[in-house]
Amino acid sequence: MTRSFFQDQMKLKSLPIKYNFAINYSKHPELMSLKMSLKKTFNIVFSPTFDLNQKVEDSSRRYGVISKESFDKLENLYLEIQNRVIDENIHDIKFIFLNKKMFNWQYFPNIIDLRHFEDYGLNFASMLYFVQDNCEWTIGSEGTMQCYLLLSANLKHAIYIDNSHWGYPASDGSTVPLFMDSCDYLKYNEAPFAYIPNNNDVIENIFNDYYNFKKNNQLQ
Amino acid sequence: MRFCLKFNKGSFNIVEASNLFILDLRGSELELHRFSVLVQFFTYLSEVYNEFEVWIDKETFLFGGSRLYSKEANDIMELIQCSTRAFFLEKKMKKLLKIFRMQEYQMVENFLI
Repeated sequence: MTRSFFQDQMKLKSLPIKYNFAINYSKHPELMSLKMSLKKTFNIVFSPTFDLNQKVEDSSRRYGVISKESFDKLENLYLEIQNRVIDENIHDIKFIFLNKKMFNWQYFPNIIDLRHFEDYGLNFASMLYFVQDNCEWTIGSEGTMQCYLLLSANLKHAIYIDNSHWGYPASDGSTVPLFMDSCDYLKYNEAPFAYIPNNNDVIENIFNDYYNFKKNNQLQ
Repeated sequence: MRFCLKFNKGSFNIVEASNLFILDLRGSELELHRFSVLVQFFTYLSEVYNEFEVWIDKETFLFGGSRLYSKEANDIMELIQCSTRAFFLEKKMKKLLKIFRMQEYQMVENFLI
């Protein structure tokens, strides 16, 4: 309905937003030091819900609102990237945990825990700007935070969103912005019905961007 | 949870010369993720119209009694206002969510969520 009403009937274009927000770093020197540290690393926001012990979610949402099959694929992606980081002895790729509903992800030393970003003086809005300003990729499943991350024009997104929980196409309901249909860096073959990329494509894209990041940093 | 729209076919008409676009969200009881569905069009509306107003009231967002959620909604509106030319205005409410453009007052009626 979103597509047919806004896009076809009202002729509105779905476009990403370049977030803009004034962050006052003077009260939070720890946030400035985090920012300076993140400028030296390649940063991936990681935010999929994972709540095995149902701390905040009910049993039907332990893996978020995607199927177990999609979740497994997402988990494999995370582990494959982390294993490659270890295999290549990479120390400047960071994973930023951002979602308060993620509890059970395997720990690795390159994780920066920003699940309680309020402790850094950020709110929901300034957090989105901070992430846009300091990160390269997001990896996530369905959720309100991921909805707003997806709208950011400056980030690339690997999203794992299917129609398993709601029973309607992902971009026709409330989750994936329509402009993701024409995403030029990852193929979502099932879009707009579902957005599940090929893990190998995601890994190749992320590491290509990382190698470019390294090259550019060496040139500076 | 579906973002479901109902409207009377033919009840709106777009005037290309309009300079002002108003998105009336009063009484629409949106959850934050559903608001993001609308936000994906804000960059375009900011580019096309000289003025882009979003009318809100206390029932624009569905808070479920959560003060935290209320703060998040205000934070998001501030971010969107800083990032696009959308201007949020608090106005007294009408029940239905309506989208209309000024000049000849075109609108979408019975636009329910």
